[in-house]
Amino acid sequence: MPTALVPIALPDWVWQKPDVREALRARNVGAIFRIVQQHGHSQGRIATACGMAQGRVNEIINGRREVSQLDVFERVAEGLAMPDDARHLLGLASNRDVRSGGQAFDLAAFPEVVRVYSSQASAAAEIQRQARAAAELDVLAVRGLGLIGLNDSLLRGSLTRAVTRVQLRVLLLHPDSPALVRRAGEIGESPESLASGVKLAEARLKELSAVCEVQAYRYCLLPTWRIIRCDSTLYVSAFDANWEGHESATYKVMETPHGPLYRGFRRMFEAMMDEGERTV
Amino acid sequence: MVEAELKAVVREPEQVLERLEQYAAGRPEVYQDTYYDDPAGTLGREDRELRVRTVHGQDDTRSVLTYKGARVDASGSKPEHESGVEDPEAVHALLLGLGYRPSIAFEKRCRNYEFEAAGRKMLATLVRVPELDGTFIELETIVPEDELKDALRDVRQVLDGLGIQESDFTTELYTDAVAARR
Repeated sequence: MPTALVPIALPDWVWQKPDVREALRARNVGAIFRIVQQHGHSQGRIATACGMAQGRVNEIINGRREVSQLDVFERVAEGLAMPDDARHLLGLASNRDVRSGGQAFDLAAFPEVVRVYSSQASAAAEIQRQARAAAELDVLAVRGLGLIGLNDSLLRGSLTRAVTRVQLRVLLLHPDSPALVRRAGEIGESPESLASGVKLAEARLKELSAVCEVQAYRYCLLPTWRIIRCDSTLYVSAFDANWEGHESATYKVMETPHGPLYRGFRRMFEAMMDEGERTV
Repeated sequence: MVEAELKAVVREPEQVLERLEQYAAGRPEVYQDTYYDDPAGTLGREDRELRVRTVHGQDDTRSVLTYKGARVDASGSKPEHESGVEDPEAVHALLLGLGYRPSIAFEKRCRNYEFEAAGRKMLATLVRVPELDGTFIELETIVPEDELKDALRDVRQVLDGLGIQESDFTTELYTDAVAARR
């Protein structure tokens, strides 16, 4: 005779049957008990295993009572020695502690930089494909003519959607900022020419409100990062002296639970927008 | 052909990774999976799967369309049919047109190892799913259905060599585990 609270051990395959999985997912304890009965266990045996009165088991089996309390689900899961996957379907945590390797292990084994491109040109087709499917697009650039400002810019053709409208946010360098003068010097252009490029891009961004939800801001920081975000994927490159953004190697960074790069770039973008001057 | 596959919870991820790296160099990839079903949930109820997967790899980004039939044995192995997809958006539209709807979508962070063991081509994948606790390992080899039993024996042996215990094997589907947490 089984002693009190001795779990009922069903073969593993029982927990994989579609009807059992369905019952677990629906948290239908009555259906689960009926299946246990079909495997030769009496109501009395179920009651003993799950620490319930037999009358209660009978009510549950006959649909006169439903289980809704978490501690009862726990007792049922333990009483029927459910494997972890069955417990999960029932909405319960794993029986045993599981361990991931910690943040450093995760980031080393599953890095947030998924791909490296030698330049923006080599990433272009991929960025356009991601942009076409994205709901949100962020762009951090200097004047943005290569990325979004002109008809043949990288992202310009990826903004039209059949049903929804893309959320587009663009940060461009303030045409009247000291940083623009410095950047113009770095790339051997006159500040007037660079500033007029920014203003042209702003004017062309205004036109985009016909096809998407567009916002544009001016920032005053020295241009350092060049970022394109398509939903949870970032394409990141850098500006440096004598180095245009599109010439820089580009990292594809995807969001992970602990990834500092993705988080940091998102946070920086938001902060630059908060402090920026909205133009569109 | 059938996928002879076993999946397990990894208790010592660092140690298992170290052993895998001795077989082959790990290839980190991000899988973006969208599963489809009809509004009545027929496929899920019948243990079948219809999936569009986009793999973000080190050298390319590619998509595949996969159909898996119901499990053929207790290991969880399923008959599988898969083909590359040029335009996942078009396939999405196609499936919607046929009456299917996305039932669940999530990401898997994977580290893949391709190697030969017991005379078979094996693919080992260390997996983290951001919404789930723990690291998983999947080990698979594609075989004709009548070889399934032998192939599973070999798969079990390789897992044993990696330090994975049989008590950590799981047949839980990520789709179910993620759905249970949402």
